[in-house]
Amino acid sequence: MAGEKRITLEIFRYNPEDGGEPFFQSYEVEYLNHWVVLDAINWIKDEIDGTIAHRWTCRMGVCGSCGMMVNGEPKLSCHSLLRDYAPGPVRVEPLQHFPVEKDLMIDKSGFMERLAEVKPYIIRDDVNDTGNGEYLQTPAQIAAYHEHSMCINCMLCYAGCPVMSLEPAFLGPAALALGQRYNLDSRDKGQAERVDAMSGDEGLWGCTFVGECSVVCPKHVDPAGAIQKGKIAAAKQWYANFIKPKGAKK
Amino acid sequence: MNPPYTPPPAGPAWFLQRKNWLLFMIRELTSAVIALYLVFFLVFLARFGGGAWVFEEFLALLTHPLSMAGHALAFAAAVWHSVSWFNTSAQVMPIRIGTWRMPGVATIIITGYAPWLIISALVFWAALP
Repeated sequence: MAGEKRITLEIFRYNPEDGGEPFFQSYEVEYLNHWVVLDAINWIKDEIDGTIAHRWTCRMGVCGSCGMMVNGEPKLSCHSLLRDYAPGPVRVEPLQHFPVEKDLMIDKSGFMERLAEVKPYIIRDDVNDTGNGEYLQTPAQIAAYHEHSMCINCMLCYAGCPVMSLEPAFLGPAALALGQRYNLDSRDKGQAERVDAMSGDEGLWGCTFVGECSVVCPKHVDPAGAIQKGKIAAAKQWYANFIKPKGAKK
Repeated sequence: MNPPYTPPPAGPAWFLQRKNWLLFMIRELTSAVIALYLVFFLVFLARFGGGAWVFEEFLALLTHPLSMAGHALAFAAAVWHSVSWFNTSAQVMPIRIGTWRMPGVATIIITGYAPWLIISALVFWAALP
């Protein structure tokens, strides 16, 4: 046994191969003071039940793989100390608003498709070769987008956003924040290429500003703030186009 | 093999699942209360043009307990709505000077509470007999 304190984990189980319905399975764990929820799941998988399926990689809040619902809250399980949930039980479920492949593993394909729609990379017509040096930025230009660039694609924001459940086609907080992150980047010239995906009802305007995405974000990316800034920029662009003479419109 | 398990869609009481979702819904519903009050206010203005005795009758109606309760509800809704929106201003319109970003509390005061207080004081001053 591992430690001196005991806590019960109620883990969501679903196996597509056995044709059954999801259920919760309880495991009692002895844990050390510094253990996080991920440590407990790994211990259960190693010592009690090797059939549990879950994702994790870095165990230090960098990779974004181990996002789960812990007692109903979207959390990185590597950043959720077990002692904070004492005396338990701790209910562990896959991230809300995603299809579940097996146990705690969600199907990420919908998220990856949404990310691709906003073209989250620098777009320019000209290609600078290394001989001409880097694309330089002032500290102020970096500060304009820096917080929004810290996303680790953990998808906790999708689990915290109720619109994801009510409007399944919504692009979602992380994708929109990343799109806005590149729109705010002084090196980028791709705003026009992102506008169709980002400015539709399924994009920026689908956000009702609940704000929970920014509350649950472990990296303080503030997706809600990025989306509202995007709305302001889109509205300004619309008014600018509205007052322009016809010949000046694109 | 079964396909991935798809959680059931959100029901009509989805906002009860999380505290912040509920607070969001209260913020949105307060706008409906304010909209209803504006309808009431339009009726009041229409009555105002109907002559002195119609207006006096309408003023008497305002002292009815239901009217008093409605006004209290509208005031509470307006305050809640205003405060909950002011508190988002640091996210929506962060104030930056170079790399310096104004602290959220200062942004909220400058863009929300300070103009609110100044305009309220001006209205109060103008309304004094």
